[in-house]
Amino acid sequence: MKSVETSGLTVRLNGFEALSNVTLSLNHPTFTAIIGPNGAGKTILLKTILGLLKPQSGYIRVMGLDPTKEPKRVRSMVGYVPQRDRTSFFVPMKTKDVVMMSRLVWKRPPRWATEYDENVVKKVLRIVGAEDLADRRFDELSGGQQQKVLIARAIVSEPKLLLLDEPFNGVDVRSQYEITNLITSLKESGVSIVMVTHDVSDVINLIDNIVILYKRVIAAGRPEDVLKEDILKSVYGDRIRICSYEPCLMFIPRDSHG
Amino acid sequence: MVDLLSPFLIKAYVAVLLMAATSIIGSVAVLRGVAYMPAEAAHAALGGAALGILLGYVANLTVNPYLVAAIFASITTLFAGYVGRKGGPEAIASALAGALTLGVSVYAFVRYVLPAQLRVILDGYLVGDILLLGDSDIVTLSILTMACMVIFAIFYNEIIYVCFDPEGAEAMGMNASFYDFIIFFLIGLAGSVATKTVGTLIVYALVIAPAITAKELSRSVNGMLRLTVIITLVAGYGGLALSIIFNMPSSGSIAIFASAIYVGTMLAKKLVQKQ
Repeated sequence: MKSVETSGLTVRLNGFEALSNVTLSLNHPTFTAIIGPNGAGKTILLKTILGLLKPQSGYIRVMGLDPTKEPKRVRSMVGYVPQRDRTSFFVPMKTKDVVMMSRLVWKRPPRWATEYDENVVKKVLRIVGAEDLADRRFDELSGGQQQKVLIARAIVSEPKLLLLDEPFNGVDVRSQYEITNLITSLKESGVSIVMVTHDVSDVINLIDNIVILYKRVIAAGRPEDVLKEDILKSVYGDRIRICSYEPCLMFIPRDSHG
Repeated sequence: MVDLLSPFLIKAYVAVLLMAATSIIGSVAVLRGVAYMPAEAAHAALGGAALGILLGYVANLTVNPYLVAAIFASITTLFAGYVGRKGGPEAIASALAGALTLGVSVYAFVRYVLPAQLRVILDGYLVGDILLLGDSDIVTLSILTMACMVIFAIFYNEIIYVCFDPEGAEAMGMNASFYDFIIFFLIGLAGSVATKTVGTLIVYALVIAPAITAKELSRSVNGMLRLTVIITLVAGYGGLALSIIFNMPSSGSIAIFASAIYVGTMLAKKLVQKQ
C-alpha cells in the first residue's frame, strides 16, 4: 500500500508551472520530509495531495484514491496541519473548539457536538500535551502550543496520512522536541507522515524518506542517499552547508525562513 | 412630555431589537476580516433604494424600495466575495469601492430627478429615520432579520470555521467557498437592514463598533456574539433616550452612543493594562 503515489504530476498556478513532472512513491506507513527552497512547490504538493489543487496532467493517488475525483474520501483519511500564520487571529476561538472543528465538519448542519465528541477532543488534547489549554484562546497561545493544537485538530479525526506544513516555524527548541516525539508516536501507531520543512535537523534520524523538491523532484530516497552536498548545492546554491556530528547529520540552509 | 408608548417609539424599540439581532452579522464581518464591508454594502443599498423609488415614480410600479436595496447590497457583497476569491483582500476592497461609487452616483442622479416629497423618502435611507418607520417597514425588516438569523443559526459552525481557517476547513472536506458566499450574502442583508434603520452614513458606527468593542472584551466567539447584541441594545436604547431628552436626531444619537462605548472600552482597557 502506498500513502502517496504520483507520476508525471504537473500543476499550474496563475499561469506558472508550480510543479513539473513530479514522480513520487511513498510507502504506508512512512515518515517523509519534503525540503526545498522558497517557491519550490512544497505547499502546492500538499494541496494537490488534498485535492485542493487540480493537476494539469499526470497521475496522483492518495491511499489508493484519486483526490481530484474523490476529494471528500481522501480528506476523510488525511489530516492537514497548515502553517500557523494561515489561521485568523480575528477569531477568538477556544483551543477545544479549534480541535472540535475537525470532528464537526463531518456531520450535517447544524453539526452539534456530542458527549462522545467532547471526550475524544479531551483525549487528543491530552495526547498532544495541551489538555490544560482547552479553555484558553487559541490566538493567545505560544507558537509551540498553537502548533500542538493544530496537530491535535488534524489527528482527532484519526487520519491514515498526516500532512504537516512547516510545523517548526517560529517554534522554540523544547516545543520542537515535543512535536517531534508526537509525530514519532503517530508514525509508530501506523500513520504516514509527510512533513514540509526547511530544517530536517531535528527529524533526520526519524525520517524514512526525504524528497528534495524544486518544481520537480531533484532527489528522493533515504536521507543518507539524498543529503549529499552536490545535490543540495544544485538546489540551494552555495548557501547550503552540511555538518556531520555522529549520529546526527546537520543540514543548514542559510535561508531557513520565508 | 414624550409619550414613551407612542406608536413611533414602539416601532423604534422593535427596530433596535432587530438591529441587535443583525449586529451578530457585524461580528461575522469583523471575524472574517472585512469589517468595512457592511458600510460599503449600505452604500450599495442606498443606490438600490434610489432605483426602487425611481421605478415606482417613473413606471408607476409598486416596488418596495427597501427590497431593491437589500437585493443590491447582497449582489454587491457576493460580487466582492467572488472577485476576492480570485484577487484577494485588495480585490474585495476595490469591488466594494466601485459599488460604493455606483450606489452614491445612482442616489445623486435619482435625487435630482425625483420630486421634493419623494426626495425626503430617499434621504431617509441616507441619514436614517428610526422614528419614522412604518408598519410595512417593520414587517419587511423583521422578515429580513429573521432570514439572516435562521441562515446564521443553521451554518454557525461553518461560518466560524471559514473565518478562522478557510484553508484548513477546505482541507477537512468543507466547501469553504460556498460558506464564504453565505457570509458575504448575510453581510449584504445586514447592511441593508441597517441602512433603513439608522441610515447609510452611520452604518459603520452601529454595525461594526459594537462588534469590535465586544471582540476586545470576549474570551470566546459565543461570548463576543452575546456581548455584541448587548452593546447594540444599550447603544440603541441609550441613543433613543439621548435623542428624546436632548431633542437630537435619533440615528445620530445611537451612533454616538455606540462609538462612545467603543472609545470608553479602549481607554479603560489601556488603563487596566498600564496598571
